Amino acid sequence: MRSEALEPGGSPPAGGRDRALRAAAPGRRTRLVLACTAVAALAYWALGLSLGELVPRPAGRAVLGELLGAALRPAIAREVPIPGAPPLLLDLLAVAWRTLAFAVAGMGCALLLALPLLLLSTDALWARVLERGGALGAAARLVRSGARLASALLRSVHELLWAVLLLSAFGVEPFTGVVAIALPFAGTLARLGSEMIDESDPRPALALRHLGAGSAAELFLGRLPLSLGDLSAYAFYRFECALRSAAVLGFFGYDTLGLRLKTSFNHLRYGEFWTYLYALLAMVLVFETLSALLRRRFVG
Amino acid sequence: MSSTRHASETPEQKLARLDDARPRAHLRNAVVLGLFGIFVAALTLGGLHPLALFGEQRLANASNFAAKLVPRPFREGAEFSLSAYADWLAGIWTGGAGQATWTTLQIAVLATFMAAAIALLLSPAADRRLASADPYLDPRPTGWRRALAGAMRLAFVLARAIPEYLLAFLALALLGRGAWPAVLALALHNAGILARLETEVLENLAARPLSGLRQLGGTRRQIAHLAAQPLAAGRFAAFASYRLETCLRETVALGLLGTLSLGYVLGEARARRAYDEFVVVLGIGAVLVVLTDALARRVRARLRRT
Repeated sequence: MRSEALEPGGSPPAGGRDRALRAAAPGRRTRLVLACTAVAALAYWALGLSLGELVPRPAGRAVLGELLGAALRPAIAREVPIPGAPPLLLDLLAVAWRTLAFAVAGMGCALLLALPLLLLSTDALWARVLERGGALGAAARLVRSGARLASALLRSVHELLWAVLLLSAFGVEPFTGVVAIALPFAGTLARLGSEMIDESDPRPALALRHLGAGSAAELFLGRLPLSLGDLSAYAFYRFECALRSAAVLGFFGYDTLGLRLKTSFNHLRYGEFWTYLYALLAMVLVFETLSALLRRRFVG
Repeated sequence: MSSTRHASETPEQKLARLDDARPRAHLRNAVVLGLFGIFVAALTLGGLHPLALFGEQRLANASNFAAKLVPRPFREGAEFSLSAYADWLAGIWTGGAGQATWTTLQIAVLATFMAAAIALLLSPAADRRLASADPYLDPRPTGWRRALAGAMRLAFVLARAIPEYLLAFLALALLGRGAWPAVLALALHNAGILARLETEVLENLAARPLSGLRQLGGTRRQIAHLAAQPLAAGRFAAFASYRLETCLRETVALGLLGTLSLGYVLGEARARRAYDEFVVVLGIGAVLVVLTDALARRVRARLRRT
């Protein structure tokens, strides 16, 4: 059950299954569905959409036909030879490695940034100071809110927008892509991580306190080990997202799979397009399998 | 009882036994170590040098950029006043950002709704318990239903594995400009995610009440839509509301492709090098996401309370 909660990329539902079930009492359910449908219909109407626009234009239809036709015969050599360029499959390997490098570097930096934010955002770290109250308690509350606000701001801006912002500020420099992934991912990790720690069983930490442990020992030895399994499972899931983001950064000029996907599509080299797309899918699926495997072993 | 079985061992033996029984995460450790190796390699040999950001040229660019963050009226010599600042902000809002905020919200809501609808329709077909010889009573797999469940799962995984941005890029080429490419891309990607989550919830429901319905003669479809999914509704609503927040963030970004969301206004400001407006619009998007998140959290808490 915990593994489901890990998935949505938001936070796990705070309550258990029973509480969630009560939310779905019959009368309320109908009203909820009706309200959601009404709001969606309103959005559809306000956007001025029509179903007729879903039929591709003649030009679009031709592209669609050729694109789908190429799906079964991905290119293994360049469709249009480029003098001096490496063979397609060698280039594919290099670009796949760079995509992986962006994702790993982004995720690594995100973890480094998330760790302090995460600890400062937990209630567990501040429990004793808050109990004592006074000026120190107020200061603690301020630091905790500050950390939570910082992680909220970090994750509320999409990684592509961070990339555009950093490219505008620094100019074309590969490391900006790493930072663009690291910032929002750190925000998400900090929020989820702190929630996981605060929702973990407080009793071991309490036992440590009665043995005379300090706040730090309580947090690091009492609370953290309990949620480490969940935390690493979630980090692996986010890594999969980082891989996708690293690929998409290519659309903005970084030398990852997205750049190849964009140029091969724009130059009508659909066979090459599918080769790069299959490579991306393979990478994502490998990590998805790996993270599912790890999650099954270490969570719940 | 284990305590009697181990009664004769010495403390050293006990420690050794407990140490042997300690759960070990060899696979996790290997993967983490491997990833750490790639991390170091990426930052050194991989060309992703952190220090490159602090080169002379980069810092000069950055300070140039920072100077342009000052709102234009004040950069051009106007006296700073709150009312002038408010006028400037209002100009950005009426000059396109306001309309784009609404469009962003509408696209995200519609896409999340479509994703949820698709997920609700398709997830029972992926439920392996429903695909057995006799649901909840005889778990042996049967031919085509089981194959269909497998195919559905694969479709969900693929829908999720392709980034929304790429889907929108392709849809844009096929359908032309408008809101549909963004809506379709988000709906498809999130349908994959929500369908998988819903399938997992369906498969984890308590089997006994459902097997009772089966014994009363319920068909698979009746059980799935009239009993199992209503039971799973609370969790599904929570998952869908989490996706709404992600969709909003994503909708803003998809505007860079030409959908008239906040991202479009961002791209346009960037093209004019109007970085002062750029960060304001970025802030509007962030506030939109944070507010939606807070609202969704409220709604979830209220749904749970009663």
